[in-house]
Amino acid sequence: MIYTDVLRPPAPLDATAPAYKDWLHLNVLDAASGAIGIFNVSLHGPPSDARARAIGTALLHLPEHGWFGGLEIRGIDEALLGPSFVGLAKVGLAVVPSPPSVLASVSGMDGIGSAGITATAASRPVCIELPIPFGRGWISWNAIQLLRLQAAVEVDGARLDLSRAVAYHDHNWGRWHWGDDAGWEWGCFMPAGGSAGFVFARTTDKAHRRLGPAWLSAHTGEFKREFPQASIHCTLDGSFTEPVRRFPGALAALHQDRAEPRLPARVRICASDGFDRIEITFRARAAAQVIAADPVVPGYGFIHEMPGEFVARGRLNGRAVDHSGLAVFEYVS
Amino acid sequence: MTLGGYIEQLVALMRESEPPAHERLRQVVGSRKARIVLDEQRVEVQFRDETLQVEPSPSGAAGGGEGLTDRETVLDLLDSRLEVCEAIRSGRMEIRGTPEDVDRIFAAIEILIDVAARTPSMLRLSERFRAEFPRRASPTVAARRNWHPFRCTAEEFEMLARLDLLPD
Repeated sequence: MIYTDVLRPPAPLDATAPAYKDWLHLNVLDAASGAIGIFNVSLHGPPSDARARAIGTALLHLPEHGWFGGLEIRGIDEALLGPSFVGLAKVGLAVVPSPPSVLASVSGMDGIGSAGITATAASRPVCIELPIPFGRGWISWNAIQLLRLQAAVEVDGARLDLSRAVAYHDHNWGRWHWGDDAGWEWGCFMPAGGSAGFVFARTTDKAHRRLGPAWLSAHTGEFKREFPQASIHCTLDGSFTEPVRRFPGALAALHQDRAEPRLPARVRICASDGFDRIEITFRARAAAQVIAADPVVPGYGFIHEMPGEFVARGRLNGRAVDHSGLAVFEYVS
Repeated sequence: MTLGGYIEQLVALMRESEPPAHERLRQVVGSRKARIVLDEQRVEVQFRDETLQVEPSPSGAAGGGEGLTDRETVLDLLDSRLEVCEAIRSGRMEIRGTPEDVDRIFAAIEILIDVAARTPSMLRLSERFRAEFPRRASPTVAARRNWHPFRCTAEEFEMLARLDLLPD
């Protein structure tokens, strides 16, 4: 299998270039330790604009310990860019076509001493190249729902064994400004060992009152199912009341009004297409708020990463399924 | 770099990258004087002829508002280890002055940080701050305080009672 995916910088004379965004993302979930890692690199603003930014994120949540890592924010001229690679001083991420893999590297990020991760695709990529309306612009994405890991990670001075962890990768790109009236809800839910996986996404407005069409994909080793939009129902329930870690510190100081965001404590997703049905229940265990500043126009986006646990029950391809494991739910406003 | 040099450069970079924001800052603070204290360094800042003047500050009472903190607190804020409200509640950062002075100091800080988010040269200056004002102690994680470290006055209790905001 060959997977060719590249960053999508704007072409010369593209009038929408100031709104350019591009994002390579890797989530790592380790059932044995309960560790959930969020690694990504992103570009905000066109490479030709001196204000454009490259941001690297390395966040790792460990039960009983909390969050490790943080953000690295650089001018885009300080980043090493390749067709499918963004490298910063402390965080780098690359997508490799054959075998389809994602390589992530981290060094010296507030508790994450070092991390070298090679995640190799164990499921076929999902390519949703179609631009989806998002705020005043659009967003597109590709994803690999299941990857297996080879990893060497040192956290808080100790080696973390992630050899049995699984991972999820996606690549988002598009045109929007942080601060537009747009948000999204997204989640990946992965049982231990990667015997199945579920990915949910929908765009919203900033207040999460106007909801875009939902997307839910379920895959096992044998098959993949995407549920019809109209059959997917997602309910956010309760209030997450634990303290939220916020990054970067300067923007957290600027947005004191967002220090205690309204986040769901639980998420319930149901879908049925007349043949198959699935019900996923997610419970958040922690939250981190990543504040994204638009480099071109004044405006901010608030990306809440919520690691937690899930249970999924139902019937897929004629067989009863009952899975539990780790998950990440993302709530962006 | 001294504290004064750092502040001068921060505002100069802001003026260069977003002149309207610089003008907004000037209008917010007007001709007020403010004292800024970081560790043992203290400076007085004031706009004169559209330019920020930074001078060493004499000891004694400040002429206008006053902001005091130390490098550890600034670095803890930059490193996302500390929230501003926790820094103030725990006494690691103090803003003094009349309510209007305090309000205008916070408004000025907000304008500066907002512009910095779109100005790479200001971002690089914060890295220079890290390099030139290194920590003198290991970073600490502050426990979140849900109480105020100072005692409420009788007038405050009276006001809360009048507004029916005291617990039963």
